[in-house]
Amino acid sequence: MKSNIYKIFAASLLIFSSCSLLDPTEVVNPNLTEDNILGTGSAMTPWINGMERQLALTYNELIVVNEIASDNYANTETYYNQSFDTPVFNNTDENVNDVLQTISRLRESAIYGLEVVKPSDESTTPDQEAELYFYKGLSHLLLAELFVSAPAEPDGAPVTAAEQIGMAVEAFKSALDISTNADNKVGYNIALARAYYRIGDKPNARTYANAAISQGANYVRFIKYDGLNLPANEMQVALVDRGSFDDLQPLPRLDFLDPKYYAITATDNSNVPLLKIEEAHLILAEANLSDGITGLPLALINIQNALGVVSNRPKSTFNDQVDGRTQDDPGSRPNEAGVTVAAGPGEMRIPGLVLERQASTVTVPTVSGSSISSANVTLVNYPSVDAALELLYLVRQEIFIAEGRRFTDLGLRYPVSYNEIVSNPNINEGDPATVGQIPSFIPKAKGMDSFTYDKDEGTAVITTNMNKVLVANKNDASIMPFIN
Amino acid sequence: MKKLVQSLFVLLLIASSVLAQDRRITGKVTAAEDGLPLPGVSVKVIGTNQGTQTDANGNFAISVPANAKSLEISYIGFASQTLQIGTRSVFNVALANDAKQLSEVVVTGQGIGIEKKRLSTTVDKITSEEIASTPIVQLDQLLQAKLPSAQIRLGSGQPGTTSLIRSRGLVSANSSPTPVIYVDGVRVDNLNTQANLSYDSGGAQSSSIPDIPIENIESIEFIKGGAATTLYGADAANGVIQIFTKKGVAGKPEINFELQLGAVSGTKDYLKYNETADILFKTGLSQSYRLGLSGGSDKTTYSFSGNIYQNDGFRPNNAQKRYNFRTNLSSKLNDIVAYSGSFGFSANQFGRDDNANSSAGSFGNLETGAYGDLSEFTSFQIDSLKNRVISPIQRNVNNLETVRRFQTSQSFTITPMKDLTSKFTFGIDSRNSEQKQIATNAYLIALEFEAPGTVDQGYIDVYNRSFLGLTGDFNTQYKAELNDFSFISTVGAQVFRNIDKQNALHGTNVTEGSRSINNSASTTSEDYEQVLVNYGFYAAENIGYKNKLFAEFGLRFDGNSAFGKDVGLQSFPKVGLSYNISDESFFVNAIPSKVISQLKLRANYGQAGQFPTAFANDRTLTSNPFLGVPAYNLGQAGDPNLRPETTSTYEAGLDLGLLNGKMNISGTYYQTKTEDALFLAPFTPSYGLSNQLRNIGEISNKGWEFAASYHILSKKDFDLSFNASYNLLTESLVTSSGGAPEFSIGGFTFLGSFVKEGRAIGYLRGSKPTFASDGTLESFEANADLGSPIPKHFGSMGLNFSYKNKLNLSITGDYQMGAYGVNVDEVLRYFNGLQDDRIPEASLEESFFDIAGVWVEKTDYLKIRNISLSYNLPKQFTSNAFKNVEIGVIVLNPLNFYSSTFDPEITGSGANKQGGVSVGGFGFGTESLPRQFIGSLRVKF
Repeated sequence: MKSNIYKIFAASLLIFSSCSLLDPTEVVNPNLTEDNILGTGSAMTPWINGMERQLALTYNELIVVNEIASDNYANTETYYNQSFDTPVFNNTDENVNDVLQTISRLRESAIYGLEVVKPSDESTTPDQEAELYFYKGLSHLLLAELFVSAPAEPDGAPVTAAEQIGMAVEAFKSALDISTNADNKVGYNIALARAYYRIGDKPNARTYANAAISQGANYVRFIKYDGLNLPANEMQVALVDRGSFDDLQPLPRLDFLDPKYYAITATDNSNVPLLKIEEAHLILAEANLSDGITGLPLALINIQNALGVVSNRPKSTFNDQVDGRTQDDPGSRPNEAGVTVAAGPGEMRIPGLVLERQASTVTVPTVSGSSISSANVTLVNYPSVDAALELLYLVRQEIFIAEGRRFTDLGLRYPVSYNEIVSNPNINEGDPATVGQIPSFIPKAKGMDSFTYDKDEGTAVITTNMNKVLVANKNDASIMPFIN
Repeated sequence: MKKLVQSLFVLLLIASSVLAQDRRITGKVTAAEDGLPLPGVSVKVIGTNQGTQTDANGNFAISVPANAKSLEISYIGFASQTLQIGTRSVFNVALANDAKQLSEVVVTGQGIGIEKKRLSTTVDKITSEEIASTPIVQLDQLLQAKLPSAQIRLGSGQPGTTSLIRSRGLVSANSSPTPVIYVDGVRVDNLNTQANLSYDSGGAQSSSIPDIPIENIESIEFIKGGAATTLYGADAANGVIQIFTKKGVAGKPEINFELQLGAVSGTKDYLKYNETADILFKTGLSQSYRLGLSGGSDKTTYSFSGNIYQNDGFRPNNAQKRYNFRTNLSSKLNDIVAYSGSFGFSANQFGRDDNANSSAGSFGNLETGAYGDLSEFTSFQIDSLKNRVISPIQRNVNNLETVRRFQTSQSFTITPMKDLTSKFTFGIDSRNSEQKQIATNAYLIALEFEAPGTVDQGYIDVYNRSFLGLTGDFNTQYKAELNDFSFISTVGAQVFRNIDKQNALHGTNVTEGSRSINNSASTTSEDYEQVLVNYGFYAAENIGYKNKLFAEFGLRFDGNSAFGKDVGLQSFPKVGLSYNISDESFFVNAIPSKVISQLKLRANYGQAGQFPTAFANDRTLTSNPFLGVPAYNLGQAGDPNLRPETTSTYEAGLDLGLLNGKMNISGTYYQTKTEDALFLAPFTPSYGLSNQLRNIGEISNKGWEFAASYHILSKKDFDLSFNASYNLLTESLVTSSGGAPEFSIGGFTFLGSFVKEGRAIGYLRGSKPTFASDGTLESFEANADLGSPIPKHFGSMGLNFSYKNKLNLSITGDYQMGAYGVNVDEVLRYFNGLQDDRIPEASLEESFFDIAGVWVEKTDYLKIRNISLSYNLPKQFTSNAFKNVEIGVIVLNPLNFYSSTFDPEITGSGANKQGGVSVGGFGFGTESLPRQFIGSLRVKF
């Protein structure tokens, strides 16, 4: 018995001494906590990189759906939103929610950068701070452009587009004031011109548009994508990367501009233009046209200037055979170079708008493109304000294709989402913010995407020329902010 | 925790240091009815953990301590007997049939074995005999249609994929409903969803369940949740499956050999186009060789079983190979300490093709009309499609998964004094898997994803996961009697340490023909690592009064290293009562046993839980590589108070034996409420935050469980029995979402599976259209409730027939009713202009978002899973070299009856995250379970 006690004692000692090796409480946490990151004291540079990444994520949520909702693209078969193609905007639609959430995330990320990251990193530069103001301003601008009204802060009451623009302008001006980066400042000027344009403030829009043009004649700022580590360009995915799916198909009038994005290499995605100098010219053109016939000549010059920039923009040549036009429903869409397209019934049939899709390569503009030749933008060809307005909106449509901008030009606006309504105490179902905006002149039941195609004859006739419709409804409060 | 480990070792040492004198007892056990010997009967020395089993001739031999008083002889299906030892050394025992099975000993949920009669909860037990009628390949297939109140559905006919295992509705909107699984007391990796980093096949996700080493099973126990699972604490709300492997039987070495040869063939039952089978399916060969060896002395027993299995698959790129073995060794070290060790290994390799939500999946493309209406193809066109399109794709598919898994359990049972038994178990489950997808340019060109001539788009993805689970388990049971009272006191502690490491390697622009990502133009990688510890302590008391009335009490405390001191230990109580009223003399006198032979009433209340996703409480920022630099973004919002969700269950039921025990009926009513339910719900969108796991929900499940068995015929030569179960889910609802908006747990934008207050978890949400008489779309209700994929009624059934104990027939099946699913294949056919007539002609141009409800169908089914027929060859046909020769035929998945136009069992929508909840319900481009015809030969030497 005694020896047993010794054995137990000896074993107990052994166990006590070995227990540190058996410690089961060690844990490995895969997360980087907020304290970890802010504790580095040098978080601002990666945070700014993260803002670029967040911008890419934000635009991924809105470009595809905005393009579907517009006349630019028809959603032929995929799980991308179908209601928007009609267009119908229900506040219960998940995409409505995603657009609101992702823009809010861009704003909150910028504010976090200003209020939390900046104090933690003494090496923060004015240029970095300016960028954060820019992103904050951009979020307000996007909410103004895409929503009837929307909260400008978490759980906030919905504010009008004009109020959002007020906040955007304030942020953009802060960026402009403190930035030392000449290139970025061109973009801030364009953003300010675009913001003032949205609320119809002609003097300020002109001022900042002119400032931008004088500082950066060929300026373009891109949303960058990372095909290797993601996010990949979702619009590129929708246009070409989904292989055998036809996905989004352009209006035949815009066929030559598609696909604006393609797989440059297996891992290099196309970038999306965020701000480009063409817009400053087009804002000036619209401002001049809103002055009436007196402004027409100047407006045509502005458009010529825009087209001059466009003519110097890069084009890419690549194999696009997999991006079938007619695979799903053979013969339903024009896909041969010989096809002529009429922008509306009774309109002139224009050749050269459709590319030979099964040729070994196609050549497509990757920043801006237009079917309009600068030389043709003359008073003879466009003798009236309305004719020039129609031209302007066509050029806007062509230049901004696949950038998610046509949506706003058409007067479309999303409602705030159902999730916002049920969990934000400052919004109630039935408030104006909860109902989207589809102007009465917008054709129903996918009418904007509709066209007839006679394959044998080689002609495609678009059912509704939306640029003509816009001009006919130019006094509608939902569009053409300088006129209304 | 350190102190606990120390205590265990001290106890071990005490035990191994004390010796006592044994004496030897022998005997034979036969069936009272026919006098035939009963092999595998449990012989236990009461008050100790010593025991043995009878050999093939019903003989046993056991050493018992000098102070041992009684033996317990128990065998499933027979009434147990307790024998006073006295001075006797030979016992010949005749066991009588007893369908009541109340004296059956169960372990799961009780710490150490305890008689069923003492329990207020139910434990479903499957014996090795019941298992023998099914090919032993993977656990979920094995259990299918065998558990009366659990539903097991395999999501795909492709190998190694996830299953849905659920019993009482869904108690969590965050976690997979898969029960925790133990093999020989050691918890094993039960990940039944995709891993954090894993190959995306479009649908079918890989699971850890199919490769759990299940060789050499003695029995399986299943508890469904509620009070039965309280002792498993904060992880067990979905129930517990416990697998016990064979420890060997004392006696001369016995060798078993089993050969199974079969054909595996894709079922056409659910196909839209029979031509799909003509193009893609083939009849594959399956072969399985199993060698078993067992024997031992009265001190030491051993058991080994090894298996080599190969299955060509019923379609290309689904071949599967596996090598399994398990070896067990049990030894009585002395009168006090017994050791038992179990080692299992499994190596599996199988192919997988894309499916479901992948445009690369050949099966889905054929079935959904991507190549046109196959039924209108000429045979020339079919051949052309097969040879020019599908075969080039299939020749270039290269998705391979390799799993190697080692599992061991080491336990010491210590009986330092009469009626006191302690058991210490330590074990490991080590699982290493590799998923490798090689997509060559040739493959991408064959798929028409890339133009002919493309040379720079090939890629390789490799996903590695290494899981190591350590289990330490200690419990002690003390039995005492005082006058009319008996007490079983149990205390125990468990610690689980899980190390989950994953990495993903991606190579793009890979040189054609390469198997290594080294030969890539660019590579990227990701990793994931999580190490955490769950631990718990419990105490339970079972008090009996006159061996008829029993009360149970238990309490467990649980902690988890992922949640720190702020959350602390969680407590889970249980209380229960059982009353064996048929043992009362007034009952026996009033009601003859040929009318009611048994009546037991039981009721209980208990809690169990589910931990939140580890570290989901942290407020984080993320760092991601972006264009070659680190990019920080907002991460999860965090919640410092995040804690386990708690599921409380009230349960009441009765067990009824009729007609002298020929008929047994069991009925249970349960009501579960999950409080602090974990919802990965969105914040108000204007916050711009990602969804965060929060304890904001409440979930209620209510229902009835019935199981019945009827021994229809029990003659000298004939024996026929039938069993069936019926489970009714009367309520399965999210009763509160804490004001949070609903959120998706699967499916698609146009028709998804959502969690919302007042609805079933995972209810199908989409537009519900109303068509006018002319077929135009009159209106639609947006985001309508289109039904729940969780069945309201389900159950299983089985029939067993034997003739002269030589010829045995077994049939099992299961069914469900009252669930709904989405025919996603039909949606794709609609996209391809090949829709059936569910959408009126006049509404074909409507947005498919607005008419989504047309694709939701009732998913009632009755499936016969298994028909097996075996015959023991009479002695005159077998050589004396063989103790027994059995030949047999097994048919798997022979018959399917179903209401939907797709296979209601398969699903292309798995969990959104590792360990996440999934409800199934999306029939989608995925092959159904194949039909298999297997011939078997079992030889015993």
